Amino acid sequence: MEKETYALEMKHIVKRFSSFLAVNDISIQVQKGEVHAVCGENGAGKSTLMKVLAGEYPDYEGQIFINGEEIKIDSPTKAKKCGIAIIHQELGLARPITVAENIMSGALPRKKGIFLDRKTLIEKSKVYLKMVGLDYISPNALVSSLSQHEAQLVEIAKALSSNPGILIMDEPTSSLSRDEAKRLFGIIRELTAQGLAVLYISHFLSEVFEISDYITTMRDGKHVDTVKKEDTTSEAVIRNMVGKDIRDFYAERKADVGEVVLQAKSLTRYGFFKNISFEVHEGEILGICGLSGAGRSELARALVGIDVWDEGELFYQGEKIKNRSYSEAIRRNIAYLSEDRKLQGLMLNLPIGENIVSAKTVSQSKTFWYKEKEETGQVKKLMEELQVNPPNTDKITGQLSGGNQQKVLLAKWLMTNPKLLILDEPTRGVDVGAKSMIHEAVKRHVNKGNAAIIISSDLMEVGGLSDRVLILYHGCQRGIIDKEQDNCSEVSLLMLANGDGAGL
Amino acid sequence: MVKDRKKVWAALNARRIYWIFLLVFLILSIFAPNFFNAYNIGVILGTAMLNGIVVVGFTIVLICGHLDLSTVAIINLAGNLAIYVVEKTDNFVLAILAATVAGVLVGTVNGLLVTKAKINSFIATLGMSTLIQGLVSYSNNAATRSITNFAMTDFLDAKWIPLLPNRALLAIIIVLVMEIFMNWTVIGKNFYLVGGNIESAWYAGIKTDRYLTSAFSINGGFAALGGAVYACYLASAMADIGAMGISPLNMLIAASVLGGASLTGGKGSVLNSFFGVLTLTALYNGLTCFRLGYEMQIFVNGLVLIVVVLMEAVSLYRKNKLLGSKSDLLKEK
Repeated sequence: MEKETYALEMKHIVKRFSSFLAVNDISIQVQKGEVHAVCGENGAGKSTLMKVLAGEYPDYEGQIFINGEEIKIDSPTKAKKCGIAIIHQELGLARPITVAENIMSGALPRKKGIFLDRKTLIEKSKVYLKMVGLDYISPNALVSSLSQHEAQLVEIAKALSSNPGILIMDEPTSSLSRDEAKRLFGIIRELTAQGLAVLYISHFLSEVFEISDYITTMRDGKHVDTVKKEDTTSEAVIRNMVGKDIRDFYAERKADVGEVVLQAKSLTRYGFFKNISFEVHEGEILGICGLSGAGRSELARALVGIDVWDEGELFYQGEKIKNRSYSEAIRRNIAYLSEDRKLQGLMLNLPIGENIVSAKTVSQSKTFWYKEKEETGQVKKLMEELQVNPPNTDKITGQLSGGNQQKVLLAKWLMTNPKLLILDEPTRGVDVGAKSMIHEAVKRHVNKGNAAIIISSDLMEVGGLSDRVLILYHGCQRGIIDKEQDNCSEVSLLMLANGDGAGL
Repeated sequence: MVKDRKKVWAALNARRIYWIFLLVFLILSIFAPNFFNAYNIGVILGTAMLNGIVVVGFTIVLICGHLDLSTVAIINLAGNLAIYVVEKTDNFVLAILAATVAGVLVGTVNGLLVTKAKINSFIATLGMSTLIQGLVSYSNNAATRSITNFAMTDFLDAKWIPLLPNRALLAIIIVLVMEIFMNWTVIGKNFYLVGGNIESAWYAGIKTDRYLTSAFSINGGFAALGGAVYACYLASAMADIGAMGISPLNMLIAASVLGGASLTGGKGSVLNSFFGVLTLTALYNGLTCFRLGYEMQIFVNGLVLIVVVLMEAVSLYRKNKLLGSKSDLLKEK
């Protein structure tokens, strides 16, 4: 019998970043008309794998076959030629331009050699708009006038305009509501019925189970399992994604719970999160867990006054507050470690020492003069505690490794001795050693009678560090689980964050 | 209801330059003495010639999301070069041609600095501006270079169409041709895509470097053409036109932003920018009708620029506030 040919077959794909193996020996086959989901935690290598297919990393190892033919994908143009269309996680549309021109960009129809064939442009883009269920939108509308989910669908229409045989979707629903996601799935089903092969990357497990035929799980760049959807459960997939148990990693921490530091009552920001209520006490760490797009960072930004909230009340040490600005929050002794250390957290071209004292001199300086020297002792002590490498205050921060930069960022805020420490993704892209160092420092700080809120997509971290975990699902609070009382395993956290299981 | 109001506002805003133009023209016609008469309107149209031609290329660079600060230096280079060639050869066509070629070359270097050497366009063109301006001032000792051949002056002052001096006609023809090029040809449209989102344009297979470089070349060409024709018309060229009164650069930025171009790229139209130039020229002309000096014109120019950019910033802020929000959660409020 003749061997079955797949629309896309990857054999032993490896992609290295210097010595780090982001993708380690992955093999996946996708047939025509099939949706193949790839699941894994953040950093599992899903996106890197997709970028290999998109032609962004011509230096991959292994073989890729398209319709049975071996092809070396070494540029985005080559990928496009092979019929691979990719829908990126971030919107890749030109916002001030019309929908039609975006859809057909790169291949605008011509007449008489140079002139734009408007009629064909409109007609063709209408066809693709119809395919994604947007026939009510005028092709002449500007992308900037569309809502975000419409823009997302236009992006799909744009991908379809190259008549692909393989469509790769990277977290296509992260900015969509449930209904909009449902509509998208209807569209995907129609397209696969016409023979399109879809590679679907997501960590929204309920959606993966709804749309896919096969599920491949990845962990730390390695292939764990490929199964038919019918033969597995979301719990089994989560176990495969996670691999190990939290309790092996995190030693118990005894907490002396004191007064309430921060209390939120039905905080709501229209369109981002609603009715969020929680309390954090002295000596306690509250975790916030949710999938990307669930409103985690938006909530944190509202707490510290970077964004406004619309309804609800916030009490800080018993006093009703409304932080009108970030600096007001800092004056109240609240610290916020932003998600993006490069853009928002550190001055990369200044020395470590100056970075560490910067928050303190700004917020707590009693005099007009800048006195860096006075703080040197404490800076040195913090750097020692966190084992910042190299232990040299004059070193330029930008030359440090990611993990050490993150330590500097934490030291910068620990300098101000914050009563409430809010950490947004404190260990993203950080090696294991630096990670545990950061965790220890946070625990030490909290044990001194301070409070912390930790937001992370690393479930081990949230589950292991925090005393209680607030579950956010799609902007709504699904409940708070107490580590002492409830069964707080990483698996149960992920199930809840996925919207599975009854609300608590 | 709210959505309808938004739509009406968006439609008005997209064509804002036309109603602003009408409004300015109407108010000045009523209140400014000696503003509304055939002679003065001819003066306004004629005055708009230099900036009207130069704004074409300037807008194309803005559409690509960049700013060319060397535009005024190119105008000066072209003016002085043209006058020099006329001095030597008495040939206006050769003079204008030579100046335009020089402008295209300078523009291309700008473009290559931005695309290949990856220098920020602000810095690259600022450096180029200083370099060219230094060269021009050195070559004629910062003096004004003049000729005694007024053939070009007479030709450009003549009116083939009543009320419309030929120099204005020239600007209008260039603007219309380029407006058609930018909006009716595939190449023109690709400029918008490059400016709208350079990465997605690159992924779509558009040669983004080539487009960006040509935008700068086109700007160099039109700045030089405008500068050369203007110098030939005046039969003289100053070392630095920007040092007297309102610098063309201020006028160009204000006019294109008023005409709907955005400093972030992807937006704008050559024709709308031209109407921006007409509006501002009429406004300054009106100010002189009130016997206000050019100091006042400079003040008003700054005011217009800030108000327009502020409007742009506010609408951008509103959009960004909603970016990332979920429609179903938004509806529930």
